[in-house]
Amino acid sequence: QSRTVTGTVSDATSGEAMPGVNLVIKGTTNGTTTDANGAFAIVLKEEDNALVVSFIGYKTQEVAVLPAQTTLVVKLESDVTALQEVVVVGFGTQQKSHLTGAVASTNMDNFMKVPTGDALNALQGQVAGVSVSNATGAPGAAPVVQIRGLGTINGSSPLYVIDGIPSEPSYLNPAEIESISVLKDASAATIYGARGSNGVILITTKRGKSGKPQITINSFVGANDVNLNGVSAVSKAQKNAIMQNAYNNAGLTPPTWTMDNSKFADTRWADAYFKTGLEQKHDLSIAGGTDDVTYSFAGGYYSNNGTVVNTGLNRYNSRLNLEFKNLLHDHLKFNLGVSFVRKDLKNYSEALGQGNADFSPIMSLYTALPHKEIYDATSPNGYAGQDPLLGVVGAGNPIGSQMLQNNTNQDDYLQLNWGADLKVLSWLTYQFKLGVNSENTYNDTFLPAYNFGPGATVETPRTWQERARINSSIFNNLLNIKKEFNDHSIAVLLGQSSERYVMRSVGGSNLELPSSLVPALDAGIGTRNAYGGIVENRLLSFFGRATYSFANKYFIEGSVRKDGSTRFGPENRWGTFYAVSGGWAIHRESFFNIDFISELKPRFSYGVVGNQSIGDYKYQSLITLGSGDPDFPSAVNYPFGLSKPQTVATGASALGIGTPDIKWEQTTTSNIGLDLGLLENKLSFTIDYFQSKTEGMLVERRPPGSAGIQKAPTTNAGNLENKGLEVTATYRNEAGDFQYNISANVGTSKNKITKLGYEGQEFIDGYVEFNNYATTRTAVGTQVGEFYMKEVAGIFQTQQEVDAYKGKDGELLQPNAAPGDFKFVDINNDGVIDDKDKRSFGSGLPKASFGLTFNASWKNFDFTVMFNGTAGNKMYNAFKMEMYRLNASPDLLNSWTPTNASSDVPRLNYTDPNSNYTTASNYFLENASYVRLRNLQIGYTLPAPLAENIGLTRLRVFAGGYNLFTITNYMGFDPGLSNTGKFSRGVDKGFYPISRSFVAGITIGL
Amino acid sequence: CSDYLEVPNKGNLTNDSFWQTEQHVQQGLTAAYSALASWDGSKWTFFEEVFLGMVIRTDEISNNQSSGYAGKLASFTNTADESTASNNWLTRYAGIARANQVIQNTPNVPGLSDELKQAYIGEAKFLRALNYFYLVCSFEKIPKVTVFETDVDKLIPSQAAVGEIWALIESDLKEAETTVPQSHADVWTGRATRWSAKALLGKAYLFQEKWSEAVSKFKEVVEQGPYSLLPNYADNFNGVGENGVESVFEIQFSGDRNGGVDKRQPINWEITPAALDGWELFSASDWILEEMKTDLTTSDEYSDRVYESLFFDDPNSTIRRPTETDAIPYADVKGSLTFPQYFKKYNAWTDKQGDYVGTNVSLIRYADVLLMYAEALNENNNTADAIDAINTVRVRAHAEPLDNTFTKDALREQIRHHERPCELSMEYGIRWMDLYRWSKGSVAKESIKTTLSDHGKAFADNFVEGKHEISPIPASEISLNKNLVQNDKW
Repeated sequence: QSRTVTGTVSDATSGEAMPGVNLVIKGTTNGTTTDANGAFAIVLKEEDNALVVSFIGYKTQEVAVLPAQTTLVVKLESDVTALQEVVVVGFGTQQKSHLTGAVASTNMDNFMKVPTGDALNALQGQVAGVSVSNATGAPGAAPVVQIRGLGTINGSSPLYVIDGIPSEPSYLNPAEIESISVLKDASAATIYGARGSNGVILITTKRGKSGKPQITINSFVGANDVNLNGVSAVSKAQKNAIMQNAYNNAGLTPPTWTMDNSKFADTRWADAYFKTGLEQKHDLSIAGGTDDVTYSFAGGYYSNNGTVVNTGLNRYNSRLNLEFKNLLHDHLKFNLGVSFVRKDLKNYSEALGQGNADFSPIMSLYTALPHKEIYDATSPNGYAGQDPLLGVVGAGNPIGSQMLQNNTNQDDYLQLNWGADLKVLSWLTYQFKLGVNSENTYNDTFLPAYNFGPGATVETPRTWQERARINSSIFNNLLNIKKEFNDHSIAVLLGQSSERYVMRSVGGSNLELPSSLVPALDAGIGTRNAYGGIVENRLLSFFGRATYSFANKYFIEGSVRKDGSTRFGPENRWGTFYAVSGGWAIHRESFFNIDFISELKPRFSYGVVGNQSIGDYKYQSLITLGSGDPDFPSAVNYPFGLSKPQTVATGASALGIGTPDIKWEQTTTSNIGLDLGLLENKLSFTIDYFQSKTEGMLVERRPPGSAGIQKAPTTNAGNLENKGLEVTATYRNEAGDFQYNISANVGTSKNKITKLGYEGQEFIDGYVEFNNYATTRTAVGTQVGEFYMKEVAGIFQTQQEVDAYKGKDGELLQPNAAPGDFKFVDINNDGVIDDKDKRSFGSGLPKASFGLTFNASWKNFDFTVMFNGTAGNKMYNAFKMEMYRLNASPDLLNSWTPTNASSDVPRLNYTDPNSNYTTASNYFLENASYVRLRNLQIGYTLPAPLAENIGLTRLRVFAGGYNLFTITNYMGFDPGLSNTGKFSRGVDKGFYPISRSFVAGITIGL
Repeated sequence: CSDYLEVPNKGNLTNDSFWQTEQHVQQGLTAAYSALASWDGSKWTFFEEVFLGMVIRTDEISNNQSSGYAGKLASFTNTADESTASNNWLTRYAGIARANQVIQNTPNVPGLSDELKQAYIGEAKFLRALNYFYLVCSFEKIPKVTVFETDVDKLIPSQAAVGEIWALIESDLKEAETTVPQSHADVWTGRATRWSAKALLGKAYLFQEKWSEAVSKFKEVVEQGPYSLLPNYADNFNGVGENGVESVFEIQFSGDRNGGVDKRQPINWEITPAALDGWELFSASDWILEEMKTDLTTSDEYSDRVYESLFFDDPNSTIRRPTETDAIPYADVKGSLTFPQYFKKYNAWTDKQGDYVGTNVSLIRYADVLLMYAEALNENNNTADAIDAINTVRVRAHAEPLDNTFTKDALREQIRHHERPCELSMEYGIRWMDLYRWSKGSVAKESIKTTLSDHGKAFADNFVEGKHEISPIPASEISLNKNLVQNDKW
């Protein structure tokens, strides 16, 4: 007697119904698959007592069926370590078990749990060897992403490819993402040739599956508070005390404004500058389809109104992916993706980068005198101007400047891609892809007139407005050959690609508006200025890849790509890149019989990839005509004549020199990897060791000033070596209702310059005050941007100590020093303390960065905790140095005096004759290793029957905290921030720290 | 395929498509002039780095210790790491590189007469000499760059001997004084003339103590040149007399802001008292006030140069707010002033757009030429004629003429520490250059440290002889050019 059993199969984690799941009656070959709603019906014979339920990427389950049972609910658990897992690679996919290169796929469950609007931010700590750090905590700020540390000093940013199209990741809504693969070594990245040397991040967006519409709503709301790590500003009384001591110790009369604590205001600038920010994200997705057409729509709204007043980010995303299958008698598939994003960003500009970059605006909160008022009802704009009684130090009003400015960006990003797969023969497919990205940026700056004193004055109401239209397009033709016979499996990819990028910009300004009420350009009564530019570049490429495997045990792969780029002169336009790799699945060998090892696969790869991240036209010798160079608009023009005002004549000069011989930078990487699975893959490891050599790094070689040019020529000026180790470990287990998994990853890297510029040339950088006091050096034998400075050997306690500190010829080493001053080490022992007495003190680049995620679920509760951090990196606390220099730090209340001789803060002296506070020294260099509780989340999913009762397929609520605490010895705001400058990483100028947030959210499936 | 990769550069001319017409030469020359107002074209680099770096160390100036600008320099605790020296270096070499482009490309420009070519080249050589003059007096051992090098591997010259630089300055100026026109069309006013070249050549001789050459060159300028003194001393600093009869060479500024270009200067704000909205980066020293106060008219009142140079506690002393035109008496603001006296040169203006001004800044004016002439005459043992030259300058400012009882030594002292500072106070590095040359010369050598101490300069004690007379080679420069050797003691 047979009976019909009906039931559903759903994903154990998400609760979503699973179409297409195989159900086979145990011991037979009879079976069925679930329909679009995850439902099935199967006829069992009397003796049948179990079903085997399987689906790619999920653990196969054997489900017992009792003799009288007619309904069955199956929940399948995803199996990310499953050997049949498919990984996205360049121009295709590959079974994870067949991989020979270093390709990491991101655990999307963990990724999706990070409450952020920025996809790259969510990647932090998720993948071994991928370091994501915030340049600043400002809303909308792009994080600094490095794969395997610094492989070059020229742009270390990876290539981002979204659905096959090189794209800008900052527009992406994390909720749209289906998968993220990171191509780390040459064998994986060679297929991207000239742009692969910093690694490639491949992102695919969600597609629909056939079945009835699945509607999912995801929302979270968070409250953000800036975390200043306890760094405080001086009060008025503290400032007065410090200033009086500093002046008196220098034999000077203290300024009158320091003499009476009852006079003036006592403002806490930071209190008025920071606020609790509201962050929220709401996403709606609808996906489904038929056997012939599938669709996936995602719409999202993300907003972060910032922890600084008058700042904020709003982003609107929508994406539609359509797929038409079974065309031309099942020979043709066609897909279409379209995405539109609008991003509105307001009012925060950070002083990042290298060279003489200024301090962060936050610095001004700490250095502005507490004596100043913020508001002044009699001032036209409501904010207090310079107080004459405070003189030049009374200048500035950070709150007024922040509130009165109106600097908005509205950027639109339209992405369109069409693709078609034509099955020509059973083993031959032709694919074409057309991608078009259109980015329209609009910046509108309006400033009303204000006068807060020197450096904080806007003479007349003014506006600048700039638009740019960036069109980039890509056209790919691919041939895929796949052939399997006996134990042999061959796949060949042949491709051609042409890419084009055109940026046209136009801007206008008027520096004199008749009133703050009319910010339109047209309203201006001053000179009408217009400007704009055109930049174009192209890339033409041919590539191929062949993979061969035998018996699923032996894998080899080879790939090659030839790129032609307009960034180089006609002679050096073309570059060829290649890689070979292999792997051996030892665990599949018949002789291999170690039970607890379920996977053992060593891998090896070797290859050459390129880098062309330089600007356009660098090989040409350009003449700057008039105000044509946006970096130097006033550098070549000059007034002549008798009229008043004199007429400004147009000048022209070569402000740089062309370098016609420049060509690709090349990175050769060797990678040795091991995939190891233990205990039926409950515990798995992926281990990779790499070594790379980059030759002919494209470097903006700063010319000596005596060359008289202002723009650094780009040359193939350096070589660098980089090496490191990456380990990812995952452990998963369950005990009854309690299921948990832990995944940990760590990546190390260390670089070394082996050639740079002229023999003996050094790049010094990391200036900590405008153009003064360099803190880093890059030279042969050093790491990139290594901290290089004087060494402090304590504080002189007595005059005798000062007098006894002599060089080899008996000369006083520090004639200007007095007790309480730093004792600097005469490093080169030449009897003088000068610029040559500097040495290396490590780097701002971490020796290791790591992430640890723990997920657990018990019944309907789930719990996630994620830590990330870095080890072995230093930060130069330039913020503190500046606070000391300007007598603005409360630390100075504890400065050295004969009666406070144990203090490590040097003596106060207004003129600082020993230059304690204007010498870049290791005193201000701190260990910035940290461990941060990045994410903590507790969720509860309503049991399915209860959810169904209220008409839902799924309901999950969660609450948690983001960046709740950080363990570090670093004394500045945030050890997790990195300067974006290549040579000034770790130089902390008081950047906007990241926020601590409390988040609550909900997921609803309809 | 290859066509696909041919993308024209639509934004720039290249070195191959430039240098084809006379207009290109004029544009190249304009760019060389532009470097005078700083290498990056920024008014802040011009004043707060280059100008301030030249004046802040002198006995005329009292540094505002509350202002961060050039504080280490003012207290002689600066190091090679600081930006005043590097901005000075960058600014001069930018001018040299742009002049060199004119010098080497002009000969190949089609359709230009030899005479015109020579004139343009001579003018570029004047600019090159001027930049080398400031460089050699600031750093002494500097690379001699006479070619615009376009090979990136050849940008690391060694330092030349000081004498080689002076020889280049002399030869460039000797060429300029014969090839550059006597004057320019009205629209080009402000460019160097052969008379500018002669005056600078005289100054170069003076700095090398070539007294007789200096006398004859200055004599040529005085007797044959087009110059005279403006009737009104103040008109040298308020724009009224700019590019006028007293102007030998000026840095041109303008309130014109067409095309987003800003060629204004901010001195009106920088030096004015905070009580009048200014930024008072420095003030006038007690010594210069006391010295000025001895500059009297025949009726024992203060001369014009006292009232037009300083804002001080006197019923007749006035100054303006940076953006306004009313003269404000000292008594009105006395109670709220941070410092007892201020400079007021360049405080008044006649060409202003927005907050900043288009007033030219004088490098050499005819009064300076007369005083240099006097100094050369005196050192050449012609004290009587020297007194005449000095009196021409004094009389214009209504100061009582000197009598002829001065000995050579006494007149030298009078020139060094009264006439030059009283006439030329705070002007573009003149005082510091003077102190420098008197400390380096063989005639009546004077230690800067002693002068500063005698004149009550704060932090004179920190001055190390043999070190602080010049600037360190910027550390940034040494790191980029291994062939450079740091100056002694730095």
